[in-house]
Amino acid sequence: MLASRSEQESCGSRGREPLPEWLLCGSPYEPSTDRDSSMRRNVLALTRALVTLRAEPDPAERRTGVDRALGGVAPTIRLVGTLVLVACVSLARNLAFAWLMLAILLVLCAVRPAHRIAQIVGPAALAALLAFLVNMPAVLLGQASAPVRMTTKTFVTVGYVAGLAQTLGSDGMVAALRGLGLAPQVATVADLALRDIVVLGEAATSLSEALSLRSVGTNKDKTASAAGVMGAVFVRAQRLATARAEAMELRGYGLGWADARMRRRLRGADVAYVLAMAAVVAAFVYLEGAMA
Amino acid sequence: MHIPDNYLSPATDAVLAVAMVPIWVHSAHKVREELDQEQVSFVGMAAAFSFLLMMFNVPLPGGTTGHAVGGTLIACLLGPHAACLAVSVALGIQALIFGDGGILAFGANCFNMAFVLPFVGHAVYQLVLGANPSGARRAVALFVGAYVGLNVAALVAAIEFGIQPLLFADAGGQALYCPYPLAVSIPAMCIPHLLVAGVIEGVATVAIYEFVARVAPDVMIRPNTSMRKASSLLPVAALVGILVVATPLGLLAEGTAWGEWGADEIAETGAGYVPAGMENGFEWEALMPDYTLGALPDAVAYVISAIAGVALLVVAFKLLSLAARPRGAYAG
Repeated sequence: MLASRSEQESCGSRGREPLPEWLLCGSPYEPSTDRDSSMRRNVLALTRALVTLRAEPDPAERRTGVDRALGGVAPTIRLVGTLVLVACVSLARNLAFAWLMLAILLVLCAVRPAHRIAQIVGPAALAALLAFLVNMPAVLLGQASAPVRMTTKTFVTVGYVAGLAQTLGSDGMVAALRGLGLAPQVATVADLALRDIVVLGEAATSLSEALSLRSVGTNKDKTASAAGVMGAVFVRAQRLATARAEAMELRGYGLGWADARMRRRLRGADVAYVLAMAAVVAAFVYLEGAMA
Repeated sequence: MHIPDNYLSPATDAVLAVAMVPIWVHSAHKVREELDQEQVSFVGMAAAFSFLLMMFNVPLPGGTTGHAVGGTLIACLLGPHAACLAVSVALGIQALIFGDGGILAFGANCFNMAFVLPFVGHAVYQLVLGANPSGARRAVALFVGAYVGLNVAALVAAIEFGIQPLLFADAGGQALYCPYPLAVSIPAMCIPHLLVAGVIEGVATVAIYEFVARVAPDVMIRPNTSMRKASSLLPVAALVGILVVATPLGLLAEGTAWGEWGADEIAETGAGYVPAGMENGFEWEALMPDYTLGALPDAVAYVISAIAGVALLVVAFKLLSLAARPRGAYAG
């Protein structure tokens, strides 16, 4: 912004340079004092969460043999299999079974691309670290093996669950829950909510970024606008829900649409998966029995 | 060649561990500079070869056992700095999970097998290879480099063993740690490695190098352009799988490697006493001691250990590859 004539004159009286005198006037501007780091972190965290939610197989990415094989198994069978595996690892009294499952988990990770491995190992390592810290006091009570046992079991169970979540995706997870007898209304609400979360998250991200940029130099504390962002997102959510309900009603949709996806015959991949899980249970029984 | 805990004094362990720190840092910088994502990812596979070769124990003259290391192999495939990191990670997994090699002696083992072996082996390989290498000359260079590298590493380990009674003894003159002087340790370590282990290291290095160069030249640090064609890691993975299945052969060799006896065994090996530092020394309770797994038969547990070790190495280096530059990106 140009300085006023009186300011130019006062500036001109202080110097004799050939440059226009108004150029010599300072224009203090310190955006670095803006407190928007919290806002930026939140936007980044939100974006990362949305990327995870929207994570669908990249068509350009080659699926590994393991992913192709697991993709052919019914989601419900995979969910049950993973729950059985988690139960076996949790119930195991010695580490031999947990180590065996860890070896298999590592092999399943090793054949995947690096970024897919990070999506499995990251949460598992974080949970394992937490389990290790929580169990550290056991060392003082003379139970030195407790942290190792709990850390290993936590890593293995979270690793398998993370792998299941990564390969099934949100669609597969809802279908798997539906196969376990989840009420169709709940399944539909969960399915729609997952999609709405993505849309609303994108709206919140755009609003936050716009606020952050628009208020540079005028509003130091950007987090004060968070309530406004939440309010706008809430209104958007209400509009989305109303529009979707009306659209479904107009098209004659009931809430039993999820059932159509569940009607499928048992395939070879399903049988192979069930046999593999039976082998896992047999290994559990053998190792636990042998150590008893 | 895996030095257990309490064979070397804590002072020796500390000196060698400190010596390794700048080597690891320098190697990490060089790997980041020289290798792209695919090559860093392949370091895990190369480390798996080293891990598996170390599981194949062979009987040696004198009633002990030994094994190849594969350090020169990785050095020739991906450079000595990558070999240093790969063998170090493999040794770390062996020490922590399988109790093969000491925790306190980790720095010493890395110095011998992850630094001396690949760097000496690679230097000899380059020297023999010359400026205009032919196929046969490359094979000879690989063999000689691997043979010399392993034997120099064995000599350095023998010196580390042998200086212990000279430097660390009690008032009665009994050694506190390794009881064998240089006159015993050098021939005991070097003769079996010169006669058997070095030859196995050379043969394994030539065979695996030629195989990788034929099926996946793109992942090598300086691919031989005359051999360049479409690369596939599947045959390499298949070879790793075959080696994993064959690992129980390493159990056929009975006896313990020289310098790897437990405190309860050393008195019977000719020392006549258990050194105080070994009797009351540090003990690490490995998660899968000696590659055993609960009540499982030894051969099954050995295969599962091999699978777990290989998978862990591949996963570790694939994750590390996320920090490397993408293929084709500027390397500066």
